Amino acid sequence: MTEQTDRELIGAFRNGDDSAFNLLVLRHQQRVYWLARRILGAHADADDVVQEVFLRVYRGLARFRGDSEFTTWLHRIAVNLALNEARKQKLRNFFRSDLLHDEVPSGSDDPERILLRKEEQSLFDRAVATLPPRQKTVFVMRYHEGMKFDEIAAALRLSTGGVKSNYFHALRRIDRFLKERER
Amino acid sequence: MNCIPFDERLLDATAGSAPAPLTAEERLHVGSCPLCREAAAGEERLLRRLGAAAASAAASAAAPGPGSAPDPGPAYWNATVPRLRRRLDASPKFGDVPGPLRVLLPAAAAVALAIVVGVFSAGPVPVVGGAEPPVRSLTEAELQVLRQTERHRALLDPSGWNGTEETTLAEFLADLIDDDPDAGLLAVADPLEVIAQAGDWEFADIVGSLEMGRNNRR
Repeated sequence: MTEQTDRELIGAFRNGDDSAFNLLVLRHQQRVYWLARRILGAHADADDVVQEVFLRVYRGLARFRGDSEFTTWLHRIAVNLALNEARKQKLRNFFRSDLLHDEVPSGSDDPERILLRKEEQSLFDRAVATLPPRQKTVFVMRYHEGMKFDEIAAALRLSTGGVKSNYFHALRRIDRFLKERER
Repeated sequence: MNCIPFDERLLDATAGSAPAPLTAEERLHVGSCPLCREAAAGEERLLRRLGAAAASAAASAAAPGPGSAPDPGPAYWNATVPRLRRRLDASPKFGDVPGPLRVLLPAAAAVALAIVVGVFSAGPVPVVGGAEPPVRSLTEAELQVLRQTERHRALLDPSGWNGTEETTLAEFLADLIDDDPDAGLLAVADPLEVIAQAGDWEFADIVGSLEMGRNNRR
């Protein structure tokens, strides 16, 4: 059986099929979670954002006009809520990099290689964590989510030039951070 | 020949396409131009790091999450929908409203809306917390003022983006604060508040605050 598209699920929901919403959540929850997790760091904060995003989606689906893609709309809600949460935490908490590592992953690989890989990844994550909110958001959406610049611009309601500028600065900051740690 | 636009090459490269190999003429230029030599080395270094980070993330078991953060696990993912359903069930629904109120509530809402529209059309009102701030484009005259100081000029032209294309006041402020979080507006106000209220600020106030912040640091 062919999988229903987002548009079809939204149509079904609007026609009274409440379970279509469940499918939308199952399909997109990981994307929303990891976007929020990368922006906010802590699992608990990302979890709050996931819940709030889908509550808003549920309440807003009836008004969703479909001018843009559902995922663009979803990203916009997720990013706005994540940034609101970041604002609440204020800058001092926002720049904490240790939260991303608040749980230890398990693995059965060679311990030395795991350690090396973890160190490399941890350093990179720390570099990303030090980015200012907007640069971090753009970087996460471009680099981790693989979104195009114009898609990010649409989701964040920025100009494409502004998105590129933020992304470029993010790259430079990451580079500087890693370079300093190598000395 | 002119210097090579390494910044654009970098953006293209990280947007999915590998940067085109330098032509013989470009290689010759890189050999003789210290700026391009530095930029070429920077491009190579950064792409190598991004590549290594991506490979490392892919090698970890946590994909699609960040490389070093673990997946919360199937129990978590399976619980999302039931948790949402519980919250939706707990929140009041229109269907729970007693019969007569179902008619009266929309009427009351329409009256309230009419009052709000009347108030708004009577003149400007301050931005209420949580509302999206109005955003306007910088005018050419304002951009001209910004270009007159070196720091502002640099902010307006950080990567070949000249700040004139669809630049909004809120974007400009956000970039400004991102670029120099210890300076300028931080000295006089919470930058996040400034961004939230950006649409309400007079341009002269923004420039004034920047100058004030700079003077305070001296």
